[in-house]
Amino acid sequence: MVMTRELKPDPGLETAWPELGKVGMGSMGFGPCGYGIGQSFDMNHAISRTSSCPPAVAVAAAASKANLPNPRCLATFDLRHRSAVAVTAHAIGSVMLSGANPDDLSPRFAVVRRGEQPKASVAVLSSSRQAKPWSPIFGSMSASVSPELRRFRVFLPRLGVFRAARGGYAPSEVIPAIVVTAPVEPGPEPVRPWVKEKMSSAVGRESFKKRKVEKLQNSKVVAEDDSKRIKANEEEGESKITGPNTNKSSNKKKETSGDTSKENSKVSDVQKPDYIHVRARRGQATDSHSLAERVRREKISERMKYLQDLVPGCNKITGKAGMLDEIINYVQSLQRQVEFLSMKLATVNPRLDFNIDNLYAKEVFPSCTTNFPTVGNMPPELANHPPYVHFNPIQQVVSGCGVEMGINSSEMALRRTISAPVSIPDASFLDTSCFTGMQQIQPSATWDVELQSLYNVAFTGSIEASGLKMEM
Amino acid sequence: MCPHTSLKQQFLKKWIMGLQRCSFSKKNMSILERKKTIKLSADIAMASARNGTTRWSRALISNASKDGSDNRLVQQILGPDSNTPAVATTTNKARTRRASVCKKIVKRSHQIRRRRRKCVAAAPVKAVTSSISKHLVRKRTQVLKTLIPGGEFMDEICLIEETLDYITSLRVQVDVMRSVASACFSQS
Repeated sequence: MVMTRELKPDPGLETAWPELGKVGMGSMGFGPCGYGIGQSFDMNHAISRTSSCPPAVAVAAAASKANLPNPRCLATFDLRHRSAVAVTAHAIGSVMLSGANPDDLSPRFAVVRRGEQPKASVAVLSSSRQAKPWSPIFGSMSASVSPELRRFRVFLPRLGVFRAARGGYAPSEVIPAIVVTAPVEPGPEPVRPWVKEKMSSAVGRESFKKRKVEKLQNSKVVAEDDSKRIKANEEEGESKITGPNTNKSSNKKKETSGDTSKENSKVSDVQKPDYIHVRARRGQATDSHSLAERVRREKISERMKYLQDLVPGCNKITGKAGMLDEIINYVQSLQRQVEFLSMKLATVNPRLDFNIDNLYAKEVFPSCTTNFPTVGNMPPELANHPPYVHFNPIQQVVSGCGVEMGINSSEMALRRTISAPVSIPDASFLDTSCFTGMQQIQPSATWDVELQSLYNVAFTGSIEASGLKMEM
Repeated sequence: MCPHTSLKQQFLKKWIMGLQRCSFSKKNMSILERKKTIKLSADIAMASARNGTTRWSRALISNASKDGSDNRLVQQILGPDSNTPAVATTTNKARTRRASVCKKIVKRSHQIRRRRRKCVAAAPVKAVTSSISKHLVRKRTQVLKTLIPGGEFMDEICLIEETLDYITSLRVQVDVMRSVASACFSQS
């Protein structure tokens, strides 16, 4: 049990720890937040305060206080903490930012409001009901709200700040585990597989309270499970937005008992401002700018990790400058390749009509109902060409897109079928598929279907199967 | 690239239709003109495949629409899509506004950092190495901003996100163009 653990001063912490026993709950080593909760705290206060801290800190603080006057409360608190790390992080007030700039585009940090649960935006895992056990307990508590804390509350603009619009992905409504009281809007972004690892790392970073390792492990496990569940629930796009938020909120630690008490008083009024929970790490500057910078830095590092996966050869490089260098080289090489290929295409055909053959061949599979604008030009050219000439570019294009597969065998098979005199049905089906909308050549519906399936299959990478089918 | 199949198809379709529209306008283009047309149509097709959801795509289209010579080409390529010009104008205004705001914020943060640096006394070696690395990073982000279309007006976070998207789009573009080129070469 937690209470039986010796209270060892954390080596990474400041010397404020030893004086924890002497000082009231007020400071707990966090200097600047001097809200005046005096020595006369009741257990409610303790729990509310401890709930605002990570489990380790909370229990440590409680344990250090007065020889555990109420093990019962702590036990229940322990259970609750085990149930949801997210709820803890959510419950904990953050803030402590002052001087927010109204025209600042960066996210604002504000007091966490535990009570507010606008729609589904409250984090907490797949089961939001886990958040509910908190509210009745803490709603009943009364605490003195520090007037200074009110000052620091800032409003966060919608999470559109974080969103970078991406190509046409469906928005999602699921919320991440930790944080984000803000109603997260759907962001069309590709799903990134980093939410899970981020959450586990974020929880792991709470380890400056090393004395409660088991608690952290529990919470870490919980967080990982939660992240898995969240990932299962999420659609694309949500994780990107919420991931950074969860990361930030669980990382930064700050003393917030006053915030918690303020939240308790505010449980009743359900406002809907967008907040990001940020907690400054112990022993670090806690003004708004440093917090904002830290958040920004972590966001950037997260995104750099994605770039690492995308850009080949970036795995060994760890520094930001080196990775940026690789990214620059890669983008430049891709752009140069585009230029080179466009020049190559320009040399191939003098009239920009190279695409005609390929156009029809490839237009078949995406949508058979496309009506080509230049119907008139096509028939004479295509009718004159022998069928295998049509077929080869199609084959080439298709095979080019699926380079990894063993194309040669299917190529040979197809060429054989075409060159043989019996290959007239092949040619005919090819023409019919090309001129689906036209009344040029004898139709054969079955061949259309087969060609479509051929290209669908080929584009998905299994050319051999289609080649075999062709031989039939 | 199996996961990008739909994107490839979309890009290819738009590109080829754009090229068809271009080919009717002019006959007997020089090789450089052809190359430019091909590249331009490919870029525009790639950008329009994003449907204005990414900043780089909007910036690319608006940049192409700015020049007088390319403008009608772009209009031809884009065809009946009438929403893109509106998007372009809004992004221009929004971009300039955001640029000015960003500059103000950057200036303010620099001042604060300078003030704080005076108070904090760091070890000289540490300061030198960190400043060097920061300088490097800053230089490289500048270069990256020139590479990504519309990158000068983005902050670092957006820049990296746009880079991610831009890289995937470029990859798709290169794959499709390469296959088309190989098909054409094998044919002739």
